[in-house]
Parts: sequence; C-alpha cells; structure tokens
Amino acid sequence: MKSKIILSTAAAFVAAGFVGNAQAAFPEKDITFLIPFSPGGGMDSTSRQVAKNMGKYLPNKVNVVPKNVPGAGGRKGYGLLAKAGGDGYTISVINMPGAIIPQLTGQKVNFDVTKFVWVGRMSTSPYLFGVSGKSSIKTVADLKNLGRSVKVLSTGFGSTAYTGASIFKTVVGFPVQFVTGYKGSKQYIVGVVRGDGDAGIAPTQTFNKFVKSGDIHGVVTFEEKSSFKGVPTIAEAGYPELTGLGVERMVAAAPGTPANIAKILSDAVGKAIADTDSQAWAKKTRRPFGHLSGADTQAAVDKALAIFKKYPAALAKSN
Amino acid sequence: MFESATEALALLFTLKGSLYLCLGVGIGLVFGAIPGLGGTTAIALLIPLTFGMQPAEAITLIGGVMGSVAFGGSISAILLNTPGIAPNAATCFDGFPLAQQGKAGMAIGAAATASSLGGILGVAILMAVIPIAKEIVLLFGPPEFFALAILGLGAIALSTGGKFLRGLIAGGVGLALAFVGLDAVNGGDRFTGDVEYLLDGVRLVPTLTGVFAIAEMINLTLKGGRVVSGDGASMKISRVSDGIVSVFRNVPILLRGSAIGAFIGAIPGVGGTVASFLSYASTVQASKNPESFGTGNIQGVIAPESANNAKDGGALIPTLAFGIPGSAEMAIFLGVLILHGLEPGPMMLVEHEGVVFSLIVAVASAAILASIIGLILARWLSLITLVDVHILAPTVVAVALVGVYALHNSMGDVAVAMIFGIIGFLMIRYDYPRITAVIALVLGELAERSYHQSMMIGDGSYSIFYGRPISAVLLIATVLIILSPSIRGWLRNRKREA
Repeated sequence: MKSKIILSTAAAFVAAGFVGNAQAAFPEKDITFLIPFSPGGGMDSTSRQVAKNMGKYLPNKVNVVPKNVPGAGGRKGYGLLAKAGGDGYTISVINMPGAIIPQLTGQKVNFDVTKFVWVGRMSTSPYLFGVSGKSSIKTVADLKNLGRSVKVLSTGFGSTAYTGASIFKTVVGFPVQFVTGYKGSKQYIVGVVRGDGDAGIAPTQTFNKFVKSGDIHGVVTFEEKSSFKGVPTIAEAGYPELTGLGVERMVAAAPGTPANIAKILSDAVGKAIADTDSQAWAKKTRRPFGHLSGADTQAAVDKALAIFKKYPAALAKSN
Repeated sequence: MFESATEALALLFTLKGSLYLCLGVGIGLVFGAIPGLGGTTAIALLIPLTFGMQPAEAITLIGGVMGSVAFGGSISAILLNTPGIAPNAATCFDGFPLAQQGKAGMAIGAAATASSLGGILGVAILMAVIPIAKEIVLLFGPPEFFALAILGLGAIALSTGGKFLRGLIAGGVGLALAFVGLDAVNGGDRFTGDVEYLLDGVRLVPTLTGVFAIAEMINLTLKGGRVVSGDGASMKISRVSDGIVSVFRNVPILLRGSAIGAFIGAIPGVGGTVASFLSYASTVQASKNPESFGTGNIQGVIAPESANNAKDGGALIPTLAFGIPGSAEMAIFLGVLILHGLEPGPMMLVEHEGVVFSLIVAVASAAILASIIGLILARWLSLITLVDVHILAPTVVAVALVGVYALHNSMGDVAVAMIFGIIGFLMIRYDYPRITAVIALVLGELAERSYHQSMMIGDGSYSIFYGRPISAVLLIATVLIILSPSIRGWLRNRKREA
C-alpha cells in the first residue's frame, strides 16, 4: 500500500515536471516559418530576413527555418498554418488583407484568418492611386467629376488591389469600371501607361520608378506622410479613415497557440527587426520595416475588419 | 553604354567570372537535360548561393544557367524523344528519328550550332531593339496578346501532319485543361472540384513531363530493344561535323528561327514553347518538301533550336523595359536583383546598366560554351541510344518524377505527371498529336484572359480587335495560316489544270 502511494506520488511529480517543462522550455526545437509565396518576391525576402535574425532572440537559440509553400495566391500556406498544432512551432507570413478577402467574399477556404494568433507585423506598403502621366485626371475631385466611370485596371476580383480600389471608390463615391485579368501590379501599371484604362492602385514602392520617369502621375497616396512631391495624402484629400490602406505583412502562429508562447514569438520578431543587420538590409533594399507587436497587430486586423463591415459594398463585385 | 558592355565582358576573363559562368553552364546543361527540371528550378535552387556574391557575379552565374538550359534539353529530345524543357518539344519531331537512324551525333551537332548562333542572334536582336523596348512593350496590349494567342492556336492546324481532325480534338482537350483553376478575371475557381492542388490549374511542367517523357518511356518499354533501330554496329556516331555544317547550309532557317524566337519570347508566359513550335511550323510551311519533316529532316532540328535560344534575348525585352518578366526564369532573375538591392523598373537600363550587360554577356557566352561542351560530348552522349530500354526507361522515369517533385515539393505534381504519362501513351498508341494539346494548354489561358480584358477595355465592342493595326494584321495572318493548306491545294490544282 505504502509503495503504491510513493509510486503514484512520484509519477505525479514526474508528470508535472514534464508538463511544466513543455511550457517553460519553448522552444525546444527549430521553428518553421511558412512563406505561402514563391521565392524571390517581396514577401519572401522580408520573411527570410526576419527569420534569419529571430533565432538568436529566442530562448535556447533555436533556428527559425523559412519554408516556401506557394500556391493559389497564398491559400495553400494559410491552410497549412490552420492545420498546424497550436504549439508555437509553426508560424507564417500573412498578407493582409489578401488572406481574409476570400472568406469575407464567401469563397470556400480551409482556414479562418480570425483564428490566427498574431505575433507581429513586419512591414506595411500603403497604396498610391495613379493615372497616366498624360491623363486629364489630376486630383481626387477630378475622379468624381469625370462624367463617366473611371476605368481601373487591376488583378482579379478578390485580390488586394481590386478590394483596395473598391474601398476607395465606395468611401469617396465615384463610379468605377474595373478591367481585371492582369497578372500583377507591374502589368496593370504598364497597362495604365499604355492607355488600356485610366488608373491603377498599388503599393507606393511599385509605382516609384514610374512616377520618377513621369509615366505615372500620383493622384493620392494612402501613406501617413506623402513621399511623392505634390501628391496629397488621403487624409489631406478629406478621407482620413482610409489612411494606411494597402498591403500589410503580418506574422501569425497557428490557431490555439497559448498567449505566453505567442508573446515569446512576438518579442523575437520585434528584436529581429530592430537588429542592426535587418535595419541595414532594409536600408540597402529600400524596404523599410513597420513593426507592430502581436497585440498591436491584432488591433490593426480588427480595424481593417471594421472598415469591411462598415462598407460591405466594397466587397461586392462592381461591374 | 559601351563602357558597361566592355566591363561586363572583362568580368568573364577573370578567374572568378569564368568559374561562375562554367558552373552556371554545367548546372544549366544538367537541369535542362533532365525532364521535369529546367532553368526555373535551377535558378531557384541557386538563389541562396548568391546571397554573398556581388551582383555582377550572381548574374553571370544565372545567365550561365539561362543560356545553356535549352541546349541541355535538346540532348534528351534527340536521344530519348523526351524534351528536357517545354521549348524542346519541337526538336523531338525530327531529332529523334535522326537518332533512330544512328545519326544522333549529327543531330546534336546541328542542335549545338543552332543553339549557340540562335542565342547570339537573339541577344543581337535585343540590343538592336533596346532603345525602343519601352515603346514595343506599350504597343502590345491585351488585344494584341489575344491575336497572338489565336495565331498560335491557328498554327496548330499546320502541325497536324495530315491528322487534322485528331489534331483539333487534342487541341480541344488542351484548351479545356487550360481553363482549370483560379480565374484571373473573375477571381473564382473553375473545374477544380474543391481539390486545392488544382487551384493553380493544370501545371505545364508536370503535364509535359508526363505526356512526353513518361509516355515515351512506356512506349519504348513495350517496343523493347533500344532507341536505335537496327544493328548498332552499323551505326556511325561521329557525324557531328556534318551537323555543324548543315546549320551553315541553312542560314535562312537559322535567321527566321531566331527572329521568331526573339519576338515570341518577349510574350510573358508563353514564349519559349510557342516560339520553337512556330519556328518549326513555319519552316515546314516554307519547305519544298514538307512531307520529309518528321522523318529526320535536319532542318527540323535547326529551326526550333535556334528559336528556343533566341527566346532568352526576347524575354529580356519586357524585363528591361518595365521590369515585367518575359519568362519564368526572368521572374526569378528579377527577384535576385531585388535581393541584391537593385530595383527593376522602367529606369533599369539607366540606373543599372552594368548589371543588365552582365546578364546579356553571360547569356550569350553561355550559349556558346554550352554548345562547345555539347559538341565535345556528342559522341559519348549518343551512346545512350545503345542502352537497353530495360535500364533506360526506369532510370528516365525515376529521375523525371524526382525532378517534377523538386519543383514545388508537391506529390500532386507527381500524380499529374503519371496520369499524363498514361494519357500521353494512349495518344501515341492511337496517333493523336500531343504537341497540339500542349500548345493549346499553354495558349488557352492567355487567349481567354486577353479576350476578356480586351472586351472590358473596349467597352464590349469587337472593334478593339480590328481597330488596332497590330492585332488586325495578326488576325488576318491567322486566317491566312488556317486557310493555307486549302489555298495551296487549290493553287496546285489550278497548275495541274493549266
């Protein structure tokens, strides 16, 4: 009888030790950083840079190993994150609002972005709305007074550009006719220069060279402070709630990841970004970071969802 | 401008520069020859290696790969009737019969020479066009792309070799497959049956690997023996010089092939495959004895091989003009530029001249180097045709499937390759031309998307197609091409009556 009590007590201690260890020892092995996009692009390079420097800021100095899982515009990778266990060993870069548009527009997906556990934001690319350098449209007011629909060139319905332009036109209130089917932002910007349509919306960085060469004229920028000479911000144009409209690169852990593990990851992301190596990279490649902690990222995501809720028309198909 | 060109050339003469070029060429030849791999996979795998390099060095390495992949692929096309990469498909038509007749050395010699000269011509065309590159890219919008896609689809009629109805059926199946996946225009998914893998559509490389490589190996296995028909002892392997000379005897074909390659290679996404095919088809058209093609006419090797190397020069046109990749390899090349802090875009030539010329020099040099290596190794490579099929077939299938898996770490790709291996074999068995299905698969998506875009741009009116000069001309050319067999027949009958 006595031996039984000793045995079971000992077993209890051992068990408690294991459980306690599992929590306290995170991470015990390498962490996988999913990149649902092809190698070589902006998502990929930014994620790899952060992954490179994250390891040393994690307890036990494990490696953070990037893994490209491209497919279906990111959906393959997001699906993998949704299925991964909530143990903190799988994180992923998430393109917002790209990742959440499918479920908001009723498409069938095997992941729920609202269940992801946010661990930080790496960078943000606010949009610019541009027209051809030869266009008669110069200001936001011109868009409203054109007397016909503004032909906006874009990637397909459901893409971030289509949705961004949709929100813009819904809030400001000017008619738009979309021409979709372009394979990427460079393609439709060239389309604008060519005269396929009137305008296009894309991250400011993508437009940089075109504005510099005079092929594109910026109508309004969604940055907080305009980096283009003579181009007003959306706040200056009278619609401050749209400040920040663009693409954001978040990092999320799998659904169900406990808060303390999420905090460890969030701190590591922040330190990796602040690291001198990352800052030097950002300067060299002209891709500045826009870090937010895990908690602030959650707030940013909520804000974006609120705008979609406020303007449901922005998610409907326009043509 | 000349300064940067000479600087780029000078890099090649340094030890480091030539080492990177040779490494790139070696990798390009191997990856090109193995069905299922290819330039895109090779460059993607090399990206991490380039992190520590200077931009010019990284680009020499990548240019080395780009310039040699197409020739590497021609080797398997000729020896095994299996294109190493999609643009080599047309080389199989006459290259493989030559190998079967024991003339593999000659075919490889011709392919090597056509590849290197085609590559140089492609680059020369690029250099001539660079000053107006921007204007050219701006001239070609969705209506022009639609017209070009229709032209390519119409040219399928030229290639059916008498099996017109079967060619159309195969083309129709290819078109149907082209529409599977995410719709770029409306954003929804079509014909995917909720299978997530199919959201990206029927992928070209696994399909091609199956339909050509695996199907061919199944066919060969059932036939038994070896690639070379007849007694191996009577075969002459060393006719490589004949092959080289034949290219210089057919300069017009070389020039036409290079021009088609450079021009069509500039169309993002379709370039190489359609270019080599159109070059082959137009050569057949222009020939005095078109029936000889498909039985081992050396011209049928020269035409596509010059085109599929010239395409690299063409693919650089939109890449340099606007930073829009003209091909999958160019897309990754742009990614490498970004990684090294160089921003591609309309000002790329102005701001990054040195880098641009490094690539051009590397691609041209790689084409030459690859051909030299190929010519040296031609005799030994031809020995593959003597290997018994019981060893050859499993090896090729295994390597091809590994290559296909290596693309995206996806078993879905492997499954597609195997399924199309069986379908491809059935097509061989029942004599349905596979190339028409492949061309339709490649062009279908472009044709449909461009059509919808044109309709949106033109506000629903068809006048957008004939109102613009370039698309109008292309559409008329398409009509002429489709009618050409009947026109020819009619002319021939009139001559007879006269």
